[in-house]
Amino acid sequence: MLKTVIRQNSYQDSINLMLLTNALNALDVVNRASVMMGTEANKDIFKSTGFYTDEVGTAAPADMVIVLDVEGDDAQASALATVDSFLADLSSRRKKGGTVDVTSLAAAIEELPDANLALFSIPGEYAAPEMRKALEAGLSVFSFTDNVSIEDEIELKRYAHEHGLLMMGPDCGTGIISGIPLAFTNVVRPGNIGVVGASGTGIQEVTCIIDDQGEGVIHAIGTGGRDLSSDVDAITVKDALIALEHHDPTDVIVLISKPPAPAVRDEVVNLLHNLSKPVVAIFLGEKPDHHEQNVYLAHTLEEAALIAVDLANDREVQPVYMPALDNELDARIGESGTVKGLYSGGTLANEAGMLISEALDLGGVIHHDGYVLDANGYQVMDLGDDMYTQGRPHPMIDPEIRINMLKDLAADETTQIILLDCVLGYGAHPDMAGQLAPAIRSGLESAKAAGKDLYIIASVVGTRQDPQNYDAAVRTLREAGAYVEATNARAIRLALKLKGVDLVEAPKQVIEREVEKIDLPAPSDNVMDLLTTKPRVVNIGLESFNESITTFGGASVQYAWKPAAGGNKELIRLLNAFSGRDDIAAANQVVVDRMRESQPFLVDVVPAKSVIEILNTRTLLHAGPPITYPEMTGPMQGSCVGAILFEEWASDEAEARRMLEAGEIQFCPCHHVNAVGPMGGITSGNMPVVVVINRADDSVGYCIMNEGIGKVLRFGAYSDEVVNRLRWMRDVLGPVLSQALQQTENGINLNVLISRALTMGDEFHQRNIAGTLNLFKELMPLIVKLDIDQADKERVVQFLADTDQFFLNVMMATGKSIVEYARKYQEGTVVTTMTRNGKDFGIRIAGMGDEWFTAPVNTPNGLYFSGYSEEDANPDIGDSAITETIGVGAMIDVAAPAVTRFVGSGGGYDDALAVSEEMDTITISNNANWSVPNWNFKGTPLGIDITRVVETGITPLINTGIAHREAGVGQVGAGTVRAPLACFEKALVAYARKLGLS
Amino acid sequence: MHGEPWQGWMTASLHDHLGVRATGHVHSIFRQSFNIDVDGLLLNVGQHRQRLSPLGMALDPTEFGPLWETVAIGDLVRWSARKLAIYPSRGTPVVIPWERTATVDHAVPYGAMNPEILAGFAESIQALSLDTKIGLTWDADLQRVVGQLRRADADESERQSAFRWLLGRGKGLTPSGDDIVAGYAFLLWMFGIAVIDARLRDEARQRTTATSATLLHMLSFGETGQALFDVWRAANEGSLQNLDHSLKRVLEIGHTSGADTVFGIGLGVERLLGAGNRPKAGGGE
Repeated sequence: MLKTVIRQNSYQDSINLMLLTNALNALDVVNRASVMMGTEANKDIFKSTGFYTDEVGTAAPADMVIVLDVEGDDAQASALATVDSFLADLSSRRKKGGTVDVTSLAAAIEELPDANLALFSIPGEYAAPEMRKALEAGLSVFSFTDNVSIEDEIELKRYAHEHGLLMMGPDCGTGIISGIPLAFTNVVRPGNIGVVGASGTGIQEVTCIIDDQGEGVIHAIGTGGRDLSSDVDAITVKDALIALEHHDPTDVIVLISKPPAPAVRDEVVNLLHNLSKPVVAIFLGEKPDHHEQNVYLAHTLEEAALIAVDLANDREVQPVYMPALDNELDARIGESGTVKGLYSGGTLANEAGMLISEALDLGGVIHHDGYVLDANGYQVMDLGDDMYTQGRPHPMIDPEIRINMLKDLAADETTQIILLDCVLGYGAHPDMAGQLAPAIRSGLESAKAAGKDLYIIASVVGTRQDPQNYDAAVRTLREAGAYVEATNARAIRLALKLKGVDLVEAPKQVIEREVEKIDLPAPSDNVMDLLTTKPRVVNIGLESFNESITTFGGASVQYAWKPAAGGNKELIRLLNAFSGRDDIAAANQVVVDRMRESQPFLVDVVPAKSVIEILNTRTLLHAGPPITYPEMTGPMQGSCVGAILFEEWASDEAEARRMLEAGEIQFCPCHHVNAVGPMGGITSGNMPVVVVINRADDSVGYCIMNEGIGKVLRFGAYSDEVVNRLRWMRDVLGPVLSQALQQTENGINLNVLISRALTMGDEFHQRNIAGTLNLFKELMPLIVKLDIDQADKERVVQFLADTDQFFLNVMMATGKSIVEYARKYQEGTVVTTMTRNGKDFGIRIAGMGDEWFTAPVNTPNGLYFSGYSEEDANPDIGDSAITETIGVGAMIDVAAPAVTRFVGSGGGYDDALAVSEEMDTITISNNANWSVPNWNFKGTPLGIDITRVVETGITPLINTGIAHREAGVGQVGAGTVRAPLACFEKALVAYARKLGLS
Repeated sequence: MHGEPWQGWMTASLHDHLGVRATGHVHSIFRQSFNIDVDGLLLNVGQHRQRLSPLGMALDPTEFGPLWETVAIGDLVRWSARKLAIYPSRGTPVVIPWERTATVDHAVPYGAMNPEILAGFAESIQALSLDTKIGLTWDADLQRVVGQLRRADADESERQSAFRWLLGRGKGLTPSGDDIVAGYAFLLWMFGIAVIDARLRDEARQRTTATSATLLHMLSFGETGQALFDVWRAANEGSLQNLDHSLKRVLEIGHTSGADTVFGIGLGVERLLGAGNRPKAGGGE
């Protein structure tokens, strides 16, 4: 039975997931399994492979989808344990990698400022814009990534060409830059040969033969298989050839191409004739009968390599290159016996198809359903073709498909010769020969038992420097019974010899050719820097690609890419549209500067109705975006009851509720009237509010005062104790503090106080004790001077001394005064408000003024007071997220690591640091006025940018108290909660529409 | 020296010995230099012009340092009429155009030395008490071989036998026996006797280290390193003081290499001075 598990926003690259799929399929308790990201293309594969379920349909592109065919919960649990173990192992290997991990291209370049190459191995559907960004950042691109449209390829290559960069790929599987193997590549000794290749395994075969001959290759510049098409017009091939012409250590150039467009071929060949260096060119599928001056035309990959070796040694090029075969076989197979080729390398398969077809007159190479030859029973298969690799690893990584086919072909009556390649090098299976050997052995045994002569002929594409052991691979295949030849061409010749055909090459003479002289352009400094230094690589995708880079003297930084905007292509399009807008960047800077230059002063404590006009009516303010009474959750409704009793609009709870339900009470978000309120945020006219003025432009922020802990109005309690405390605050605390503040000339400078409290371990949301003490220190001399009742004075002082979180409400008013100043500039993508009402999380952004963007609020994760659990928790509520909006609270957990432990967001200092580092990635700047000692005195993160939030999927984390979901119970715990992504996405779409980008 | 010193220096006859075009491989790497193997001859690449090997190059230290850090044994080296290119497996290629490399000529003229200086050689070498400093043990075989080399009347077959016995004998990159042959051949070359012929060169390639074989190869053409060249210059100038000083400088080479070489020079001197059987030696006798 199919069971589906979706892990949201949990990106892994396809190769890792394919290997994970293999690991799951190997479990006894799993009938079959498939793990892929939830992209639309992958959903199609789930459908076609019988793994599709309704849950799969709900997955987003950034979600990891695990579909298991298992019986029972225990089997599922066991399989999921394997998933966790596999992913944990990836994580631990990642930590051992020796490269630095970052989460953006900008961060990668900051980490590796002299980076000159971006290596891509991400899904093709997202790749083109990412590559464009890399090119725009001045990096050449090596794209292992395939499935990029021809239109995108052309655009990228044109851009690269015009800006003096190299665009290698897409679908460039192999490359060597300054001796460093990139992607799926062998370790080839550096030498005086430079290769340009529109063929991955073609490059591998040629460079490995060169290495075997004792010579070396300094560069092998892959171009991608379509580069010589008429559409692409060999942009990269031409750029690469010109670069090698100017690369002094390169003495000989080899060009490897699949069949090119005729016009492109002519232009390229003419270019070759204009180079001063000797060139060997192989256009696979052509059978040249001559060489042309300094351009030597090869028929096979082996011939190309051997000509290059002679040229590299200043030796005369021979008319024919037909080295002796390694195996002497006198046997011949009969007329009915056929040859089958099971290739992991596409170009090697093509070479086999070409030579067999030429020798037996089979009509040439074809390209359909993974076959390059399918005539008269002779078949050569490219098992790396898309047809065989959808949803499963490439046969260079995964031997399974060839093992199965070997078994089938061994039993096939007419098949008497099987050709195989065994490709070594970085990226390839660590022991492909060892994997194939049992199948070879059993295939030969079963054929023998059936009375059939079967010959399995293999070639190993590799060098003795490869991570795998070349000699051991050859030995393993031989011991299994395969005949191993040194090159693919020789393996094919041996196969044909068994068929009674001796493949011979006609001698080639050098002939003159008319050359159209052209002025060769000079290569760019960027390209020559790439070719004359060890590359400094931003690796975007498969982490294993870092290994060869760092092993051979290059530098790399791992950009832990995942699809932007959770893979939502429309949002990605909008993000790309935003990314190039200098005007938006400038607007954001204005908003952030306003936040930074704010000058908040605590100046007074006054009755709310004295400063908020609407509170002179029967109106209550509430936290969060607009909400009606029926929509409110228990705590907020309870607060409403308490406020009505406090205001004496009703004499008891029942009457209060009746008034509320009858709609006799109006509601207004605090945020609409310069106010903020914690938790329920219920504020009535006679409640005293602190007044904070931002002297940058006299914007103001109000907030009711903190009532202490326990049963309090903000958590929905409304008992007499609660109401009486509120009345004392109205009658005594508020006026006393007001009188105290009136003694100051300008109020209390909160920037100074906040800065000081930051050094003392406050983050201003969950922990405010330092702020409270510092405020206490400022207020106390003022209070003791007051000529008031001594009992009142003592109770006020005691209340302040007992109320650790007193400063939170001051900080909230501070935050409000800051954002009110900032949001008067109504452009840009900076978040100016974040708040929750227990139902919705709402944000506002600078560019959209007063408009709310909401999404259902999440329920906090955290620690609970004894006797309570998550089931008791009310969804997230309160305006206190104003602290995170201005860059404190959870944004700056690193300032108060002890809080991190309490709120359950992780534990120790490292977790606190990780949170702040993560939050730093979604903000535009840092506030140097509020520097954090624990963070090397870095300023608090400032200016949450919705584009960064949407791009990364990282939403702001908010520290919060947890209210009981029933009115009157009060606080039951504390924890953290993530802002929902949807409101940021909505804001982005709306602002894009406003700008005309939608 | 000819040409402008810019990027480095090289043995003037380098191309005569290694050809105009060739492929080599990094053969060995030391703390101050590395060797490139070209068909059995070793081109030593270092960074001190004053320590230029008989077949060597010296690069500016700023160029040599990064190169040395990235070369590995087996790395390819190519040169042509225009340039030398080294392809380090862990670095980027280094291309040295010959035109930017000054040449250093350490070829000792054949047979042009005034015989009167031989007494000065003998006096300086006798004072060095080399019998206790050389790298070979004074056993009966060594005594026999020494006798064969120092006797003026020894026949050629005896000497060839002595050379064969000495080649490759001892420890180190240049075994003591080879250094003795080298010193002996150097001295006699100055006085018009070519000891190392093609056959001995070939034999050296078979029997001893590539470093020694290269040293002997170069000496067969009268080409030396800086230290022996200084000995020739002092002798040529007739300055006994400089000669004594230069011989002592040779003595400083290696662990026993210098002593072995000067010991060989002494044997050549004795042969030319017509000495009879060796007087009672110190050390092992």
